[in-house]
Amino acid sequence: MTTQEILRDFPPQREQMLLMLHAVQNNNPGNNITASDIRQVADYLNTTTASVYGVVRYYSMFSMNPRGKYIIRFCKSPLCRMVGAFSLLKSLEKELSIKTGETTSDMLFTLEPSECLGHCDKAPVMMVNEKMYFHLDDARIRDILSQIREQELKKQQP
Amino acid sequence: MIQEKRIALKNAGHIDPGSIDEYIARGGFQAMEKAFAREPKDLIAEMENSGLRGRGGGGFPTGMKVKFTDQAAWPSDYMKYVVCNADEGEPGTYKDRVIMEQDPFIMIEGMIIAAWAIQAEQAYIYIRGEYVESVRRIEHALKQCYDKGYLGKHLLNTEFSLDMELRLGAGSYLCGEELTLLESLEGNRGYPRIKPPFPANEGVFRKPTLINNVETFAHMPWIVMEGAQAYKAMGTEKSPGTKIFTISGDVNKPGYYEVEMGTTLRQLIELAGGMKGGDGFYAAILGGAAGTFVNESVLDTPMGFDTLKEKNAILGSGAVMVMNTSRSLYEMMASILEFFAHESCGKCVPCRVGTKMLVDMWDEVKVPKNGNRSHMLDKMAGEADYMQKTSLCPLGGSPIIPIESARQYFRHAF
Ligand SMILES: Cc1cc2nc3c(=O)[nH]c(=O)nc-3n(C[C@H](O)[C@H](O)[C@H](O)COP(=O)(O)O)c2cc1C
Ligand code: SF4
Ligand code: FES
Repeated sequence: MTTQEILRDFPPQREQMLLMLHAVQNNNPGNNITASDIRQVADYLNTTTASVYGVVRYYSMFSMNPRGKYIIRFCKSPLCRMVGAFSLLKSLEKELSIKTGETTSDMLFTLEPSECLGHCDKAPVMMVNEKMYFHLDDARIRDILSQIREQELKKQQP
Repeated sequence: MIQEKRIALKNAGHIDPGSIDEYIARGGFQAMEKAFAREPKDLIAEMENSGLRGRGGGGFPTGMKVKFTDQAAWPSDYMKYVVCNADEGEPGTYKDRVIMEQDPFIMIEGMIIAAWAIQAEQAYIYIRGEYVESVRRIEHALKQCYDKGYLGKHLLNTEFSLDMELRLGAGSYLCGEELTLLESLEGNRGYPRIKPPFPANEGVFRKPTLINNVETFAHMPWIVMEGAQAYKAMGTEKSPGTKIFTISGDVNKPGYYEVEMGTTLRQLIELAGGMKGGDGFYAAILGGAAGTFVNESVLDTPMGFDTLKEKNAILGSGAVMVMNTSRSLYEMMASILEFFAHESCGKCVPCRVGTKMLVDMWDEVKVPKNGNRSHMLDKMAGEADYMQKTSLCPLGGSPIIPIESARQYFRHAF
């Protein structure tokens, strides 16, 4: 779908902006909101590009940079940190060969730090796109990544 | 051992959260019918008499808030609004998620009752963007409510109509603060507004707005059905009713437990299967990041808004993070201070600079350069106190809370 088509599903009211931006971002292959999207949202809502830009830049779930197909949100809030989230994050960085905040060169994964994801009783946790993963350890993280990689390989084969 | 007492979670685990029929079979929407048969003014009095206090962290008397919104200075033909704060972002807290995932209808019914009480015909539910499962549940529940005629036009054959819509956050803890939430709901950056005016007078679209937490709304059907007196009979004198505590960390069965207010930390830990690892209990953080470190001297204090306050501790959102003797305060405090530095919106200088400075100062507490560590902690308290006095919104006033409690309860550790 084009951004135009997505926007037309919403009434042209400013209070719809966050919902619109979520929808636009989810629709883009790079999981991001482009400068052109921002102009279109501004036109549609009859407001300035600067004010839409201000909203996009404020919220941590929105990104202007293209991101991977899978966004990993890794919790580093107190309870996950207490049970080793930091050392897991280090090995995750190593496994993906990127730093937190970066995207792998094959555009498959983006690794983002996150605050509490509300599953502290199953710490340490992370979210990959819309799915939660609990009780993480190094082996489990490797499993999850290789599962996703395999899945993607299968999709590419005819 | 104490037992759970469930009000907000009374259907959790007993119904399919995707089925309105199962909710109805367990008595769902009877409270709505009972409420609609009563004068709104009566209903407001009932809520006031129940002594229900906000479960989002502040503990403000809910009935009073409903009354203020009802009496807001706008002419009565102006729209009034009901908003549900489902932005749950306080570290260690997951009670609202559990309600939304396991019984979304109870919260919606509470909101309908509140809307009737103030005759508000538009309601919003603002959920944090990361709560994908809650969003799905609520979306589905809303649709079923419309299909069955519990939302929409002329509810229960009255003149009263109510629309309820979902709104999403996008990753900002600060947007859980009520006025910031309303700003975000209007499609703006999550910058706080100056208080007063309070939402009761100028809320969303600058109209009178009743904004409450998910758990607060989930108590309203029970109060309507069983009455204020029955509600008051539970809990403590100043904090009646039940509370969901989310207990995590070094206990055998971490999770959510709904118990009467006034339950002690010792009882709660026992309910959660007792301490795990180390040589037993060392510390707990009560209330989340904007919460308090406490030691074993608080284990037998009844947990209510006022009873904990007397100990300079807070109930907050009901988050309980438990640490055994093998854990370090250093890591936990570092994580909390980094949290505030990350979530500061940057609008005002004391908080933008202060939250970052506190992170650096805490680093020095670990490896003291100037004087002793206890002295450094005192300096941090001074900075955090200044932040509290000069910041625009409560986030800038939050770091002082954990810092003060660490000074009070763990001074010997520094
Ligand atoms: C920084 C900050 C974050 C907050 N986050 C939440 C939240 O996620 N959920 C919530 O219900 N209340 C939150 N609150 C409290 C709300 O401002 C407000 O008190 C609450 O929505 C009122 O509802 P209640 O009276 O039912 O508790 C937060 C407050 C502050 C200062
Ligand atoms: S106190 Fe902090 S979070 Fe609040 S307005 Fe100022 S900078 Fe923003
Ligand atoms: S601290 Fe990681 S999910 Fe809550």
